[in-house]
Amino acid sequence: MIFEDMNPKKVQAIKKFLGDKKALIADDKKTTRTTLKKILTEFGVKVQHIFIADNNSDASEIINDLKIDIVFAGYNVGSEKGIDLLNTHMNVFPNRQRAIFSLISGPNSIASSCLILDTEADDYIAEPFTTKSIADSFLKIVERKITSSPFLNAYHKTKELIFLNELDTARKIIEPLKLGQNHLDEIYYLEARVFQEEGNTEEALKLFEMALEVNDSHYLSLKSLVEEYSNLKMWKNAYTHTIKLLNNYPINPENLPELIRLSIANQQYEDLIKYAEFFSGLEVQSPCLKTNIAASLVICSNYFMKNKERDKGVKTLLEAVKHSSGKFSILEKIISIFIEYKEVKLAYDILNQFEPLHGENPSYRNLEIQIDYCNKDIKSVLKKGIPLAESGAANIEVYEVVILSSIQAQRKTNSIIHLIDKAAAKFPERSKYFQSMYKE
Amino acid sequence: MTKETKLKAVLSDALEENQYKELNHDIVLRNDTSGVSYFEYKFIKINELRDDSICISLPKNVCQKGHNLSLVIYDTRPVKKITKFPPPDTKGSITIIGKVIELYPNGDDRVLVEIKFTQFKPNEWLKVVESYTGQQNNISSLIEEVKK
Repeated sequence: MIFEDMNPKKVQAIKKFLGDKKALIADDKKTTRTTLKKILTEFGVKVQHIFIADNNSDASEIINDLKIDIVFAGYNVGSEKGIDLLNTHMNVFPNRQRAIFSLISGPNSIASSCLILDTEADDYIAEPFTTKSIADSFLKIVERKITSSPFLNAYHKTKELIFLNELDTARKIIEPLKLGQNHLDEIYYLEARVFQEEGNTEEALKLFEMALEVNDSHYLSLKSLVEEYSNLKMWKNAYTHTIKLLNNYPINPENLPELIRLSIANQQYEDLIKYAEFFSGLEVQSPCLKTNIAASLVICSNYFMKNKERDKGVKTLLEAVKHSSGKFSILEKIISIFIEYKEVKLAYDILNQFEPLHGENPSYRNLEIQIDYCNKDIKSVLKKGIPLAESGAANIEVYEVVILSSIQAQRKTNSIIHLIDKAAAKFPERSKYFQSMYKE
Repeated sequence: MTKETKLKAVLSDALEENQYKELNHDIVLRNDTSGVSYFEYKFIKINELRDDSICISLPKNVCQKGHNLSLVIYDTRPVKKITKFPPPDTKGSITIIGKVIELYPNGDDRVLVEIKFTQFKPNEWLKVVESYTGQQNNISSLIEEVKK
């Protein structure tokens, strides 16, 4: 089936390539392991050369001990990330020309696959998959791997040497390649990488730009330039190169919040309105991507609130709640923004909505007390806040409102001073401020 | 990837929604052996699609090996909460009858099951399968552009 209608010579080359290869399937789903094993044997990998692991620790041991050539890693392998196995595999095969690393992943948007574009992984198999989609995808990689040319050999050798930090030797390989007229984008990119590894950012930037002059959509050069310009806080350059990148490729959704930071750094505030609409419109299943979108929406809404665009800010924050998957760190930020901008009822409604999930979390209690203070409910602030302050679980805002409420309630001087001492001990950097809050 | 002849002026205009959309089908099921229905489609995840079977992960105790199941597979998320098992040919869905032929534990609370279809319309099912094959093709094309 796999080799149907294929040139027999090519079939022979593929079978020869895979005939002596060892493969590891690191995935905790038995059905996935069974399917992959079947496909690999159909491709000509010997069944006794296929190994299985359901956790990263066993997988790493197998990769190292048996010098595994082909790795299929699940997005999650047990409680760990399958992509973490790539480094182990890179150490065994720093030259990637004949080695294969495929990630099997839950998120299936095209953009999600960008996770592997920035790494030496070869493939991204999105779930749910079909036997045909895995076989087709694997065939493409094998065809790529069996393709050999003096340039490709030099390309992979140079990348290997850069990985091993043998930069002088890498440079010796690059020099003669520069005399030719072909693949100049890749050659400039590789040379830039050598300079980058040596810490010569200026030369690296020049060469990455030269690579773009040859090929204006050279992914790795664009990506490197965005990173380097951002590191140098050259925000305008980082922004324009990100536009060039996005004109040709999506970005890993995990990096969406970076776009917002870049727009803010460039004062491109109209972007934020569009981001908020864009992110709100995305219906995604992956909890990880959902929380990234929620985090992005929080940044946008904070900007709206700061600029007195209350309605937009509120709407965006409510969208962020929807995308938060109930993650407390995100909810905490949303509620804090509502409290900061005196939208106490909204803050309370959201807090209340997640009480069954996070009610026992001390940070939840902190938010509850801050809302009570905004509602001028001094009695509740003291009732809930004093035990939290005494236990040391109160945050800086709660210490502040408990001290202020204690003063307003005319509690005993000793009790107030005791609270101030507690707050100053926990937050020494704000000690002076706490001491200044109360004069006997 | 779509190449624009002219660069977008602002970053937000360069985002293409299609590239960030996930492909998904929701499933509700009725266990015809036990007579119990399960409508919490958010807790059913498709892992693999085969020619005449499907592998899904779902909470344990919904079904056992050998049980007969009726599946309703939606191509768009149901707007309303499902409270009774949808009739065949409900708009935006396909109905399939099958048997649980494999069941494996998947973590503490979930199981992975393979359901072999006994009654289904191959053309309808093929469309579902092809949508995922197409998505993988798009992903592979993107990777091909970058990897050497």
